Formats: sequence, C-alpha cells, structure tokens
Amino acid sequence: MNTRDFMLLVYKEVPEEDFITVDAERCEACGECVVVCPMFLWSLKDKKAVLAADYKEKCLECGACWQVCESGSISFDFPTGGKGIVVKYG
Amino acid sequence: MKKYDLIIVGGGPGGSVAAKTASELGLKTIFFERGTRPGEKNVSGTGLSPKCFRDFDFMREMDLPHERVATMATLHLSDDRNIETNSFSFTPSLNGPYPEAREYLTRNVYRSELDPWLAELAVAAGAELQTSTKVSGVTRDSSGKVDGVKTDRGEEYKADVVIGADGVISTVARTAGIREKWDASEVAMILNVDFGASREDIDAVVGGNALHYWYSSIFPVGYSFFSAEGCHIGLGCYMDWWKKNPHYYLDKLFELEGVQQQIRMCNAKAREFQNHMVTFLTDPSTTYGDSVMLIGDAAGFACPYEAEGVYYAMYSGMLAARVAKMALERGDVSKRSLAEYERAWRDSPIGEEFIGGAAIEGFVRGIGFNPDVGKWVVPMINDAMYGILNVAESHTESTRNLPGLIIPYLPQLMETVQADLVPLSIALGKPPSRPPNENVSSVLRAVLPKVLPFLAKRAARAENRYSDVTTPIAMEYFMKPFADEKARIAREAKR
Repeated sequence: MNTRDFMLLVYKEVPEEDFITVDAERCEACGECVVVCPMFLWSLKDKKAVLAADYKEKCLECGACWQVCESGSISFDFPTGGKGIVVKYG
Repeated sequence: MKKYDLIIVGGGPGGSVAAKTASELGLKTIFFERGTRPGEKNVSGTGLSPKCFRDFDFMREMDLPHERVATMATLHLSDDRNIETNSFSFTPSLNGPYPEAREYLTRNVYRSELDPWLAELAVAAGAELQTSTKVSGVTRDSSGKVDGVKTDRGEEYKADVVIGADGVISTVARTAGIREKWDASEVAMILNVDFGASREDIDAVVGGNALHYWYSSIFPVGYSFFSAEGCHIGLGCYMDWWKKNPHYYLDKLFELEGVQQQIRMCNAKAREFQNHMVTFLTDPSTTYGDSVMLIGDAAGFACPYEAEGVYYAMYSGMLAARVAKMALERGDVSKRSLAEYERAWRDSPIGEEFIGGAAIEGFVRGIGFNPDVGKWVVPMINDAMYGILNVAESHTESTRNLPGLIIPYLPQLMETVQADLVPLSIALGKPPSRPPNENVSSVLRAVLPKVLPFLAKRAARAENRYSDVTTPIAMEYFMKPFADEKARIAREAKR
C-alpha cells in the first residue's frame, strides 16, 4: 500500500484568494517545508522554496510548512470563511 | 458594528463550551467558526476521556450515532524488520478512581458529530453562532486596547473580552501580541487516514478493543482507533523530529501485517486524509493578555503525554467564560484582572496535568516518540517474554538462561532509566492525591515479612547464579542508599 494514494481523498471548496505566501528574499533554502509537507506542495528551485501552483486545491491547512520555517519566509493564514478543506468525518 | 460582552473565535469543543457557559452566565456572546459548520475543520479523532463525563453534566446527555465505547486498549510492538513481535492489552481497573473510569477507557466519536452538537448546546443557551467566517485578527481602540475582532468579510464586532479558541495557529494569540508561533519542539503533527467500515465488521474484528497503539523501531508511535462505523489510522511526532517525508513513516505503519489485517478483516475503505498540528507544551505560560484569553490548543492545553486536547479545551473554555463574567462584573478586563484565568486553570485538572510536564515530555520524547529506543526496547521485551515462556528447551534450562538474554540490554536500559524515567519519577514523586489503601498496607505488612526471608534464603542457597553477582551489588547500590536517604529524611524531619 502506498500512502500517497490517500492524497486523493481530500475534499476542498477551492478558495480563490491566496492563503500561503513565501518571501523568496528571506528563504534560506533549508528545505524543511519540503520534508514535512504531506501533500508534496513544496520544492526547492534555484535555492528557494517554491509552492506548487495548485496548492489551493490540495493543501490540508495544517500549517506545518509555516511552523518549521525558521527564516520566517513562509506566511500562513487560513482560507476565507467557508472555503478550503472540508472534513466530512474527522 | 455589533457590540457583545464576549467574542469567541473558534467553534470547536473549547469555543462551544465557552459560549455555552458564558451565555448561561448572562453574557451576550457570539462565536465564530471558519468552516460552514462546526467540526468541518477539526483536528482530532477522537477518544473522549472519562474526565469529560465526570466533569460536565451535559456530556452525560451525549448520544452521537457513531460512538464506540473503548473498553480495551492494545499496545503492539514491532521491531526494525517491521514485524510485530509482541502485543498486550489493558482494560479499565476495577479500582479506577470514579464510575466512568471503571467502565471504559474512552468513548470514541467523530468530531463531525461532536462539534455541531456542542455548538447547538451553546446556541440553545443563547449564544450567537456565525459560521463560514474567518476572523482575520483582533481590533484595537484608539488607546491600543483590544476591543473586538475583524472578519474576512470586512465586518467588525466589538466586545469587552475576546477568547481565542482558534487552535495551534491561533490568529487571536498572534494579532493580540500574546505570542508568536510555538517553537517547532513544542508542536507535533499527526497524519490521519479515516476509514469507513460496517458496524458489524468492526464489532466482529475488534469490538470494544477499539484503541490500538503501534510502537515501532522504525516510525514514531502509530495508532488505529475505532468508532462505530469507521477507524482512524495514523501517526505523529514533534515538528523538529521529521528527517524524511511523513509518507515514508506512514508507509511503514501501513505495511505492518497487523494494521493490514484490521483493514482487510473490517473491509475498511479509506475515506479521508488529514494532517493536523497539536501542541506538546511542558508549561503553557502565555494564556491571556489585556481583554484576551486563550483556551484549548490556542493556549497549548493539550496534555503533554499524548496530546489529548478536547477535554482540556472544554475545561479551559468553561474557566475562561467564568473569569470573563467576573472581570466584567468588576469592570476591569485588563491583563492584571484576567490573571485570575491563569490562577483558575493552574488550580484545575489542567494545571495538574502540567505539574510533571517537563519530565513527562522527556519521557514521551525519549521513549514514546523515539523509534531509536524501540530498536532495543522491542527486542528486550520480546527476549524477556521468550525467555520465560518458550518451549524450545527445558524450563529449567530456559530459566537459567533468562538473565543471559536480558543482561545485554542493561547498559541501554540504565541509560534510559536515568535520562528519562528518573526525572519523571522525581517530578511525579509528590504525595499522591489518594493515600495508600489501608487494606493494601495491612496485607503487605502481613505478607511481605513472611515471604521475603523465604525467597532470600532460597536465592542464597542457589550457587553459581547471576544472583551471586547482582545481590551484593543491589545491597550496596540500592538498599544502602535507600536506607541512608530514609535516615537523612528522618534526621531533617527531627530538626
């Protein structure tokens, strides 16, 4: 069983507005966000953390990337009210 | 602009109990939920502990359709080949401290049912609930004092007191300037997969044995917890622990034969994938400010042992609402006035949980969440069990060989005992809340003096055994320091 298959089981009301931003100037390319994200939404390009273009459709809103970002370049806010991940069972 | 006595940000169990309590105390209260309904953005399972039903009358009325009562828990141990080597179970003690504790370990429910039910209780008590609304931050009056919140719809709501019930990432805590984000060592993330299955299948496979822990030598401790028609399988660890992507460890958990068996035999189908952060604080110290109190995960009130959160959220919600009422009556909602909140929670079961916080955290981090320790603890436990129970040779022979099986583990065991268990025992070494049972004391005093000399003579008569080495060492390094320390304490007491 590959647990990446579970990534398809995420229900979203896709928000229109951005709720994660990254300040490339401050990024120190430590790669912690790449390690912890369970949806593989981060990558390093040219020694900068880059967020997947379709993150709004996939992000679990856990805030792990923001939490581990020591340089403070990742900002995390929740999607607008009523949008984002929908936990049906929990 | 609308004016309230109390604004609560967050419609989870903490926010709802705060709203319910405040409304019952006559405060004009509104609480905000960013999901379209409470429970939609939840962060946990959940197994409700007996404490929830001991301390809240209304919880005894709880009747949720998908509840499963856990009357047994099972700990599975697996080694670095990812093979399960041992498991053992426990059930509520007949000597448990109160009726609910004697009846079950947890009551497993879905947050999608629990949270809306709790929110309804708050609304029935008179609180106003606003869903699909994200609070983007607190607002301040001309003097800089927090006087309400602003929503993502651009609306402002004013209140004398704001309670942040908005979880680990707490917008209220950050915008009110109470704290920045936690340190990575104070927060854990927990990956969770929700499965659906039929009630009959789960009844047949696990029944009331609904809490399974998977302690491993490869991945941080995992779990499979069953509700009436579903189960949660996942694992988690401190944010500063992950060396590889969580899927690497999750794959290992799902590769375990025991986990696969449960899924297969229950015909369980995966429905949802979630990841959540929970706090693992040793001592929450930033729980209020001018006009603001934090409850639940926003305050860091998850227990430092296994991050149980719902009970502490509910309890702190109740306390914060009461303190808000008192502060409003005094006409003083300053930080100094709200210091009453910290006194209240420190003097409650919440504070009690954190008395041993640092030592408990050391134990959990050192052993519970540490697969490296599992690499020798798991084979040690298995060798001990095997040494006692195997039928590969005569029982005489295997009993003689038992110390030889165990002794190789002693250096690591002693190191761990000193590093993680001794601080824990010191921190918890305060007199217990209940004195020793009179009956037990009298039985021990009657039985031990007869049994111990008998065992000692038997041991002394046997020659060429490990005990010839260990007994003098134990006398010199355990019994003597014990007697010396007792004598020292007696001398000090005299003075």
